[in-house]
Amino acid sequence: MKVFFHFSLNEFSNTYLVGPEDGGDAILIDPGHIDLELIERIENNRFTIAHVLLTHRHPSHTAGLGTLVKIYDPIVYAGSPSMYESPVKEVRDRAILDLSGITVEAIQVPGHTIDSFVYKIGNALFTGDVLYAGRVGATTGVLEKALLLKGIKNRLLTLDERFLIFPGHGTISALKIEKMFNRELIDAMAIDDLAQLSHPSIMT
Amino acid sequence: MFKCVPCAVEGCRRYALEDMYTCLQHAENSDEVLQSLIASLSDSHRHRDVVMTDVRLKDIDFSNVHLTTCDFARCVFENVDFSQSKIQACFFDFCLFENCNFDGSDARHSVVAGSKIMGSSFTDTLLIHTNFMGIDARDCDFSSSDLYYSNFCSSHLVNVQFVDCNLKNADFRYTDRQNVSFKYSNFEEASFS
Repeated sequence: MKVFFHFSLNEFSNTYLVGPEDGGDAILIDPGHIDLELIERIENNRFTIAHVLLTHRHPSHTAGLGTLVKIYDPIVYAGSPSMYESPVKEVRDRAILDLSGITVEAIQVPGHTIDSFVYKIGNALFTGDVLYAGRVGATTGVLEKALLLKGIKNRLLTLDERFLIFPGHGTISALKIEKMFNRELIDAMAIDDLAQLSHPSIMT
Repeated sequence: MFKCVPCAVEGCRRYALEDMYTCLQHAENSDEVLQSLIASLSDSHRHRDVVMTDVRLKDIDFSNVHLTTCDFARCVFENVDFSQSKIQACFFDFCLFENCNFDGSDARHSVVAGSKIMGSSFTDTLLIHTNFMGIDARDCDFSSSDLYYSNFCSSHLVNVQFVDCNLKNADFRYTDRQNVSFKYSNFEEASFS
């Protein structure tokens, strides 16, 4: 499996191209912006974009969808199909998708948006705006932040720490690196541990 | 991307080498395998998806190597020359670099997080989108480098030079810095808090 990183200057967002070694049907994750460089990368690797995975609905991750649909007519997967103008297949939490021989597991981690998904492919986690290198996703309120942190703790930090992280913005990382050096995550987990300790049901 | 096939030896948490069942440490004739890997990496061809973790490399010339999506996690590099190399989306996490030279290289989208880097030079280097989170760097020189969108979060930097660097969108939050120079660099465009 090949994974290519594409950086869009429009919204400083990352798009990922995942496909087989010898070309063929490929997956594009978060087409925030489609430019000539990305098209050349797709074509030079003899890929056809058969599937698009959207981590959430924000324009920095979806704005290139219209162009992409015109060129390749892929099947698009996302959490909230009604949010999009073009046809989108709904992804549900814990769904296992077989996309042209590539197995994708969908993990819903709401908080940044209610439709935020992380996609697990092989040893890689495509985290969108759920978890970045050194940061957690932005939220609009305290409850959303709590929901996001709970999701990260229960659904991502329980995975093998050798998983690689491909976020929607910023540098690539690994789960072990985030556990050790992501201060926002460390602080949140420490507060959560303290809350657990002070809870009467734990003490009795 | 490199494949993460577990080493066939029970209890070993390392990944197997490409086209092999075990990691380098559990391979028969591991010294020969290592020398053959080093020789193959040293040529000017493009190497992709190489897994070579937990290895000690000393006095090696990797100048002008071309590596893409490789895994060199937890390696020790002592006096290794990576100058003018092209290293894209490679993992060097939790490594030790001592007296290494990356001058003039293109190491974009790579991960060096958690590494200890001593007396190494990264001048005139393209380090855009590179993850340096949690590094412990001493006596290092990043001068004249492009560090656009690079991440130094939670790192410990002592006697490190960032003279005349592009620091746009670089992340230096939670860093511990002693005698660090950002002279002639656009540090206003980096994030420090």
